[in-house]
Amino acid sequence: MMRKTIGSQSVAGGERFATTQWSLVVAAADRRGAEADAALAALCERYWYPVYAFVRRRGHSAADAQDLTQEFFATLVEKEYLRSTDRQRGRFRTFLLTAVCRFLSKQADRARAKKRGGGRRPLSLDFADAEGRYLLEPSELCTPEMLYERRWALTLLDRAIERLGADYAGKGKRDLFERLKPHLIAGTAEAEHGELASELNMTVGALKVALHRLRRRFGEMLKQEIADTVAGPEEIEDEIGRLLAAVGMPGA
Amino acid sequence: MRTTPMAETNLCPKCGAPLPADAPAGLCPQCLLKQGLNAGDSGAGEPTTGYGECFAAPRPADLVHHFPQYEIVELIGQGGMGAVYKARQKQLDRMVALKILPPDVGRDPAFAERFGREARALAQLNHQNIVDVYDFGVADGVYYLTMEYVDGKNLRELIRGGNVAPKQALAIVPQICDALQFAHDEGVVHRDIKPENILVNRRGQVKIADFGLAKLLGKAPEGLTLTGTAQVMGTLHYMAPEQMQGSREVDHRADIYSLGVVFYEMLTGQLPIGRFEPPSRRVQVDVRLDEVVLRALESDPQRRYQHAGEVKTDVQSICSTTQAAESAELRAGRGRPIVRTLALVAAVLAGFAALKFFRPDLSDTIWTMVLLLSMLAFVVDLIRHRQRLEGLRAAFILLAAAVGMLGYLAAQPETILDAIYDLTGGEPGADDPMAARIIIGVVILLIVAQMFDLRKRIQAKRGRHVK
Repeated sequence: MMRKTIGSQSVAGGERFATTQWSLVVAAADRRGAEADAALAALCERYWYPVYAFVRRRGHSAADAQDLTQEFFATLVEKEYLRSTDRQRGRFRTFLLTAVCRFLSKQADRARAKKRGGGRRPLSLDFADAEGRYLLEPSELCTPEMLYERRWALTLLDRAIERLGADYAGKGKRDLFERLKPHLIAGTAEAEHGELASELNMTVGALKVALHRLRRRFGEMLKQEIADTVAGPEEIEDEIGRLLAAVGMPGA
Repeated sequence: MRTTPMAETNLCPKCGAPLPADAPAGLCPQCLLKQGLNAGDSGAGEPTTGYGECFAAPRPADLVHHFPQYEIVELIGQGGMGAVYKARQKQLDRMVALKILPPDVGRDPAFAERFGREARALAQLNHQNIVDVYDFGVADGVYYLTMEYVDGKNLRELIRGGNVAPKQALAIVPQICDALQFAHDEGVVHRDIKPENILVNRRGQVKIADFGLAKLLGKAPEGLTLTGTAQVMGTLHYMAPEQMQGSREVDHRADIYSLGVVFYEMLTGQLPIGRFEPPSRRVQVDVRLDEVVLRALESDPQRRYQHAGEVKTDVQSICSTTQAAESAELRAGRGRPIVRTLALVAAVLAGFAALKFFRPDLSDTIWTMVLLLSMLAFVVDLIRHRQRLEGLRAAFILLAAAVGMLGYLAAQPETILDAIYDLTGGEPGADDPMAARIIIGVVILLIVAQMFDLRKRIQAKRGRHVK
């Protein structure tokens, strides 16, 4: 289920960065390359839900939003927008938002004269539970843009935790991961450490080391995940700052 | 003791923010991101003394060379806007709070000039509810302010510890209003009112910290834009909508909105997010407070309170009418539930004795009647004074008493009817039991009306007109 090659790669600063998904797409924007296409498709399949939530919040019905999202990604993958959008050193998150905004206004211009979709479905997006998820979204005090950013941050965190789990599972430590996961945030529930340690047949010291590793690994995973969506390593921390602002919004 | 329902929204055990239902792995997204920011490639967890994009507070020992005139005791707080240390000013032998600003502020060449100007304005804000600014400056490249040290807790700690009963909240809010009104009159807007910035000393006096720092540090749209993450670290739940949207029209009314959020949180323990209920629906407080809180929380600044002083006036007039009513009851000797109950039992027994003495001819059914009436009186009395009992216990007693009475009515209708006929001189089984039916109907209606809070609502409405 995971691309293990990425999950188990070690982070070595800029070196590793050369291969991240978004930088690959940006670099290959003017030429056609199977690798860049695959990278973009992979990114879209990860982050399509924030786009769907955005389109819905802009006032489209569930059915329309599904069509529009599908159509949007279809044109995106076919590179129409990659050429017309200024993605110089931009981030995937902001690029996608700008692109979907342009796409929606163009769609409105066409006044639905043309039949949408045309059966082009290059990505497999699971809309089945998208609407159910959307209905749970905070409804007030939240513009489409704010919802998009918030969704983005949560999707990213989900991905990072998923990657972390896959990493542990790859080493045969899935169970350990599940037990340690609730303690991922440092400084919480430290009183339970003694109990947890005895349940895991560890000393408290060993548990602390294990938690420390888990947290460090999580930080790496999060940064890798973000690295996939920005153009350079210098942008990672700034991106985290922006995502923090997004999850801190009211309604979050 | 507070009986606030806390279970509806889970709070992050680390930062106290409400956890969204879809939090990744049930963990607080903000804390996860912050941790991700701090951990990672650079050897995780270790507090770095170097100043990076993410501000890590220097250890007290690292500041010794910067501040030889102070003895730095401990780090007492840290946030996006710097770190605060408890320190002793050696020469004057007094405790001060030493705040150092994030180092990246120095990157802006214009900052030094603005810092001086703003700090001088803050030093003018001398008010009993505002933390005094003693000194400011740059020490070896570190921008700092020294301030009055407040020996107490901040409101966040008090709320988390469950120590803010509605009564305390009503004592705290007017003091916040005083401070805000004073600063607003001086042309200073706080822009970052939140429980962390509201300190309460050991005597219960409120002191607001960090006036104007948000603007100085560029949290405001027109302020300096830092490329770091420090300025977005703070929780944004307390920001007025116009502030959030980066509108240029942010004025003192943004503080009034934030005050509304803090007020709501003090009363209910929760943040007014999404479709939130008015405070009186969640906790036992005067319904008139709903209007105050909701008006402070109006998203349109025009419809909000226009001055912090007005909030204080409204809160105090509500408190004083409630207190007047309470002291009138106390004067009437009906203050304590136990005293009232004993008095009632005595009255009922006296009634029994008197009846037995004057009307020995009455049938046994009359005793049933007397018993029922006394129970009814007891229930009504409890209902009228239930604000004075603790919410859950009072509700329990009421429910039990009401169920008991209704059950009795259902099980023994003929006994009661007989009793009423005895008193009204009618005949059991007579053609027209209408009078009896009406009496029973009215009694039940009264109970139901009491249960549904009608009296309280009417009283509250009257209170508003008086005001």
